[in-house]
Amino acid sequence: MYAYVYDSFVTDKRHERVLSRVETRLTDLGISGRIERLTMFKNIGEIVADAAEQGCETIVAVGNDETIGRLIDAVGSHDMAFGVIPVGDGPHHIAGLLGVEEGVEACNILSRRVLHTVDLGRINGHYFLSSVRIPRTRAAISCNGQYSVIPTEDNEVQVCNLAPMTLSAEGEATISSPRDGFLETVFQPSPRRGFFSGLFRKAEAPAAPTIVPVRKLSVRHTQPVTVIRDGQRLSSSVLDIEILPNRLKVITGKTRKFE
Amino acid sequence: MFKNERDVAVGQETETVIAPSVRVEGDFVSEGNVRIEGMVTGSIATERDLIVGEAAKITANVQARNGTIAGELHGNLRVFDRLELSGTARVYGDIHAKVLSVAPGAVMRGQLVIGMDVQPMVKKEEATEERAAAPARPVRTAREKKIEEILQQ
Repeated sequence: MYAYVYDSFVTDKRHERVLSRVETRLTDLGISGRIERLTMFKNIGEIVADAAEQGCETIVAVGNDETIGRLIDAVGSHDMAFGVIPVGDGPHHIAGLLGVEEGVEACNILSRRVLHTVDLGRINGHYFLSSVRIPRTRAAISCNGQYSVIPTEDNEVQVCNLAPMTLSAEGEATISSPRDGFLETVFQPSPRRGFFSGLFRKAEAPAAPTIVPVRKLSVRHTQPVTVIRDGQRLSSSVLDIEILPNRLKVITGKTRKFE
Repeated sequence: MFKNERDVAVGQETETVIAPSVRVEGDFVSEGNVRIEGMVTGSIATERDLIVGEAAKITANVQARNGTIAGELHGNLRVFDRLELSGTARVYGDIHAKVLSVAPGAVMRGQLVIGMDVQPMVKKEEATEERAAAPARPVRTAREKKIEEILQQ
């Protein structure tokens, strides 16, 4: 049995036609199911718990990356397969990494049901599939309880499970593997900002990043910082992040960006 | 997001990189290849290859399968297979390696043990535990020694 969770913006008139085609295709393929629409007053955790109680084996996020982020946080503690139908303005980066195309083609991918078990990340008790982005920081990051990585200048830190980590000079993105049991932590030095540098200097090439695969890391800031977890904001001065290997079954397309 | 398939590297093993913008302190352990261009203090152990860049400054005992050193290293170095010291390398510590290649200009100060099988480093705590687990040697008091001497006479 399938459950479809529609984000609130999906019900906008602009997406009516796409949504109607998607629903028709799902019925044709025989995989239509329960539909839940997210509103301000609905708790996504309760929606997922209800679906699990009623025996739903697959839960599908209908929306963009933010929808996926909200749903993953709730699905992480249940044994359900996870699917995506990208609808709306995006961003649809996570769907792209899973090899799921927008609109009706996503229904065919759901129907084929090619499942891959992937790792999930957890930050302060919240699950994430793609990455956590920590803005400019110089705070020491304790890795695996064994060593610390201390930025000597402002660095933007991205903790990746399934996300593009670096771009080569040829513009090739390296994708972190969500099946290796590690969170690839990328420390990218922030570009120096100054009035004169902006006026007179040419655009500098980004400095080389530090990349450290870790299983567990923690950061302590003196003041709360806002981090982005799969498109959602989270504020805290204490960040405890860990990998949960082989935690989630995801439905993927042929063009997925991992093995 | 990705315009074509060539824009994405699929399934590549991630190499650990320590860039000049960070400092690492503590016992750094890795299962993959490691490239160091920044500062590391403590210890480094990897099951694969280690590359130390020209600008790198390491104050640590290092253990790796293969090693290429171009920077500064203060500490003992154990390489199970092949170690290459480039012309800019400065190593202040003992070197154990199966095969060593040294470029002109490299600086080494310490003992060299080359061509033999290299044993992994034993951590301080492990060494202490081993010592504690070993049966204690009986200590004879002066009185017991005297009694033995009398009995022998």
